[in-house]
Parts: sequence; structure tokens; C-alpha cells
Amino acid sequence: MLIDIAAEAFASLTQRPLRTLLTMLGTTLGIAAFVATTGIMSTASAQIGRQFDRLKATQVLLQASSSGQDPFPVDTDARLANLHGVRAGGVYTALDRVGLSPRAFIAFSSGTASGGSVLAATPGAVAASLPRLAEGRAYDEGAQQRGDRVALLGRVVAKQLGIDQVDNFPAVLIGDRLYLVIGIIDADARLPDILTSAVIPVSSAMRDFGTAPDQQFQGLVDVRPGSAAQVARESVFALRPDMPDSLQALAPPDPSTFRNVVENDVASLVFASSVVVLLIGAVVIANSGLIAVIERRHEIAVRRALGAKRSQVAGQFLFEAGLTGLLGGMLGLGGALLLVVAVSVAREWTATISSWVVWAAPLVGVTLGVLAGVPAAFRSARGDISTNLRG
Amino acid sequence: MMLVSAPLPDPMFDAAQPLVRLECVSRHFYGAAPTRALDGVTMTIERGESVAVVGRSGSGKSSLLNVLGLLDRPDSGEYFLAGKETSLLTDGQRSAWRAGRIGFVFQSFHLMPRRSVLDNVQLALMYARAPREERIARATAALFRVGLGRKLNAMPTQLSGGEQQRVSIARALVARPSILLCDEPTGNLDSQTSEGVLRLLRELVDDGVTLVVVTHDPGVARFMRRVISMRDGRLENDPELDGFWRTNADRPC
Ligand SMILES: Nc1ncnc2c1ncn2[C@@H]1O[C@H](COP(=O)(O)OP(=O)(O)OP(=O)(O)O)[C@@H](O)[C@H]1O
Ligand SMILES: [Mg+2]
Repeated sequence: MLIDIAAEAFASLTQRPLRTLLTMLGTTLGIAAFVATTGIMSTASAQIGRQFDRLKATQVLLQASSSGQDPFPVDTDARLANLHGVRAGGVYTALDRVGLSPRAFIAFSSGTASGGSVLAATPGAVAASLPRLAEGRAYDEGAQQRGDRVALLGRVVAKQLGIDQVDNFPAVLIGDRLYLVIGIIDADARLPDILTSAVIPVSSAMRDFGTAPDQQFQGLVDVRPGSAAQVARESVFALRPDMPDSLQALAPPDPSTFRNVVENDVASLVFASSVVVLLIGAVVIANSGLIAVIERRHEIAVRRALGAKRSQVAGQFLFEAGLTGLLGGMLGLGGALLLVVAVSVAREWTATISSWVVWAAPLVGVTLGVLAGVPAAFRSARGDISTNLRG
Repeated sequence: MMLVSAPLPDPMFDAAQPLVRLECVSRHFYGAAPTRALDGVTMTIERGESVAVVGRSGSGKSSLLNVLGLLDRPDSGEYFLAGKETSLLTDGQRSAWRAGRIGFVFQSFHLMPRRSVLDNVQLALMYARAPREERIARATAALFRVGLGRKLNAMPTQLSGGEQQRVSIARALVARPSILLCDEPTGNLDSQTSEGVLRLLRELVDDGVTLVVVTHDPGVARFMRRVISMRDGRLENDPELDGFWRTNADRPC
């Protein structure tokens, strides 16, 4: 019986397709606005998450404005450390160009190195690269100032050289100098190349090997979340108050402010209006249901004369309203999904939509529809059969 | 033929009681022009009787039919249907009676214009809770019965008036009701198109269907076993028509 009434409701809706479509419109638009907003927001924030992950959000890179110059002062580490929001910072440079081939490694103990390179880095730069040490410790500012011949080995290089601990004072030959290995780096978040390198203090490297004419120095700064932009602005002045233009600072766009803009301004507005549109949609369904009861009072009377109970007639109107809401919700969902995909394709984003939205849209539609159908259902059950058959 | 139109035996019916018994039934309409559409009607209709109700416009014929068909409630008096006092019935019970036991044919057909002929007929069985396959089968049989076996999928608007009325007769008969109530079944039809409807009604009389037909059409009244004449909401004899009729001459109310 319930299926029959549902079928009658469905037939009623499909016999008046244009009206059904217009009645659905409010629900369709409301659901579409809701789904599109959440869809575009979740797509955008997933994108933000991809582009501005925590690591990149807390990193500032520094480099010379023009190549062939070394604008970094000797006390770069200290100057950076004095800046508000900086956790660690320093300078590093690759030494491949000064003629240190990987084969320059000769283990004190056993094994031969291949494919290793040498990196010169200040203690601040090492710290800012967020290394994880398996053995020993990193060198400190004292070692840098004294120009100690100490080295950190990346895990890969250490393995090739057969060095697995630092307790027995292993040493490696870099160029023709003997360097004491004081630590082994297991992993490095910002400079993964370190795993295949030996890292030595910049001062030692300069003294032992000198600089090439086109030596490239880079600054690496680890900052607190939210400070990247400010540190980028201030660091060039802190390092070169005389020639701030000689340095370039690269900071990621601040993701938190971007996200706030999306969430607060646009989203809450569209959310609010989609709720309003949904309510209007419900009112439209309720209103057209009441009109339909008046307009179809003859049909209702015929059904009643054929033996339909009040509850069956009321049930049909509830079904019709619920079905209208459901179809409206699904149509809105479909349209919104297309919109989100279209936006994503246009921006080369990956469309991301929570599954709950896909479930919620038809559910919200059907619930609103049924609720909106209640007045019409009540009214449909009331009318007088014989009077309405005459009219 | 019998298969389609003869009423089903009904365990709810008290066979010892007359099918219809009205006692002092009144129906008044108040408003701008207060009317006594029914004014103390007392009458009995036995099973298998065929009754023509005649009378001037406004005499209360349709009002009588509405009360008989449980489409309307009397203001006073008692209406026993198969021995059961109807004022005590719930909406569900009244609806069940209409769905299974009472068939209606109206002057203006009252078909659903957007539904096929077959749908219009099977809808009557839906509210009698028949399963869909059975509904289709029985509706098809009923439409063949009224000579519309070729128009099952036509829309009502594509049919002539006479054909539409035959659809509505099929719809009224399909649940095999105990009583068939017709309000001017040929009132909207010219003599030519009403012919098929007349023949059909006559067959129903011969089949023993309990029939109450409101009509202005002497052609209809002629073959009914009994003619009731109404005036101002009361029953009276109509000497202009043949047949035997009863009166409520000794009106107790
Ligand atoms: N719903 C109603 N509201 C008010 N008055 C009504 C209503 N139904 C019937 N009447 C009045 O009751 C009286 C009897 O009406 P009814 O329809 O029973 O007459 P009838 O004999 O069927 O007439 P006709 O031959 O024209 O169909 C009329 O005066 C009519 O105006
Ligand atoms: Mg009438």
C-alpha cells in the first residue's frame, strides 16, 4: 500500500514536470549553494594543506640578489637568532665545485665512499634543516668560530664508509684534511641531500678549501608558525643593514591568513545564505502544496470516493513533498559537484568533497520536503467529499 | 459477464437485513439560502433491486445518493448499511466500504484526466488493497466488459463522452461492489452516445446488481424495477412513470 501511494505521488509529480521543477528550485539552489561552498572550501583547504604544509610554512630561504657575491656576514647565525620568531638559522653551501669529489673520502677504518658530496653549513643552518641524529651530536657555534675539523655524516655516506658509531672517534679525509666525525644524521626534513653528504663548519671549509668565484651561499631559517612573512621582511635588514638589497628572502604566503579569509568572510556568508535559500525552498514546497490541495480538491474527492482514507490522501501529499525535496536535493548536489569539479579543473586543484556532504544533501532535501508537506497533508485530509465532487 | 459485475459475498453483511435502510434521514444546508436537501427520508432497498430516483432539479436526488454512498453524513436520522448504523463508522471503515462495497458513476465522469484509462480503473482497486498484477488483470477485464478493451492505454480526453462514462462504469464495477450508485449517468451524453451506457445499465439490472440511478432520462427509468420520485427533499409517487414504487406516505418524521 505504501508503495502504491509512493507510486501515485511519483506519477503526480511526473505529470506536472515543469511545476515539479519549479517547486524543487529553492531546495535545489539551497543544497547546491551548501554543497558547492563546502566542496570548494574543502578542495581549497586540502590544496592549501598540500601547498603550505607545516614544514614549508615555517621556513624562510635567503639568497644573494646577484650571483657571485657572498652577502652573508660572518655572524649570520647570531643575527638571525636575535630576530623575533626565529628558532634557528644559518648559511650553507655545497663544496662540490671546489674539487672535492666523492672519491675524496677515505675511511680511517674500512670501506670506500662513492656518490658522497661535501656541504659546508653553519650550526644554525644545520639546526634549521631539522636533522635527526642517530649518533653523536651536531657541532656548535664554538666549533664554527674556532674552525674545528669536525664533520657530520649523512646516514647513506656513513654506511658506505663503514662508520656506524662515533664513540671510537672515527675520522674521514675530506680533500687532504682529516675531519673528526662527531655525529651521524639519520634523517633531515629540509635538506634531504645531507644523507649522502658530509657536513662541515663553513669556517673550516673556507680556511681549508677557500671559495670558488661563483660559490653559492644560501640562508636557511627555521621560524615559528605564522612568523615566516615577518622574518622574511626583517632578516635582510638584520643581516645587511648597509645593503638590504643584496639579499633576497623567500617566505611562503601565510596559509593561516589565506585560510581565514576563505573560511570567515566568504564561507560564512554563503553558508548563511544557503540556509536561507533552503528555508525559502521549504516555504515554496509548503506553499505550492497548499495551493495544490485547493487546485486538486476534485482529484482528492475522486480518490476519497474510490475509497482512499484520509491518511492515504495525506500520505500521498507528504510523499509528493518529500520526493520533491529529495529530487531537489539530488539535483542541487549534482549541480554543485559539477561546479566543484569545474572549479578544480580550472585551477588545477584536486577536487575534495567529504562523503558526509554527499549523504547529507538528499537527506536534508527529503527532511525539509516532508516537513514542508505537513500543512498540505493536513489540509488535504479535511475537505468535504460531496462538495468537492460538485465543484 | 457475471464474473465481473456480480457482487462478492460479504461476511460482514447481515444477509437477513436489507442492504439499505434509511430512517427519517435529513440533510440540511445552512447559509445564504438554507435548504432541506433531504427532509425525513425513510426507505429500504433490498439486494438486487434496481431503483430509479427521479424528481425536479434541486429536489435532493444527489444529496440522497451522497448519503447512500457515504460521501456525506445525514444531520439526523439513521442510515443502516447491511444492518450497520453508519454514523458510528470511523473514516477508515467508511473508506473501506467505499473502496470495496460501493461503486459510483457520476454525471461528469470524474476521471483523472492525466492517467490512462487502465490506470483510472485499477486505481479503484488500489484503495481496495488489491496487489498490482491483480488490479491490472481485473481492470482489463472490466474494460473489456464495457466494450473498451481496445482503449486501455488511451487518455480519458481522447475518448467520447459515452466512452468516458463507460470507463467510469468499469471503474465503479471493478471492485465488484454490493451497490452501484449512478448520478445522471447519461446526463452529459446525447441520445446516441448514451445508448451504450443504457445497454450496460440494463445488463447490470439483469445481472442482479443492486443499482440506484438518479436520472432525468425516461429511457433509463423505464427498465429499472422501481422508481422513486423526490420533491423538496421528500419521497413521493410519480404517476407519470411506469413501474411499482413505494412511498413514505405514512411518514413518521
Ligand atoms: N453542498 C451544498 N451546500 C449548499 N446547498 C446544497 C449543497 N448541496 C446541495 N445543496 C442544495 O440542496 C438542494 C438539493 O440539491 P441536490 O443536488 O441534491 O439536488 P438534485 O435533485 O440532485 O438536483 P439536480 O437534478 O439539479 O442535480 C438544492 O437546493 C441544492 O442547492
Ligand atoms: Mg443532482
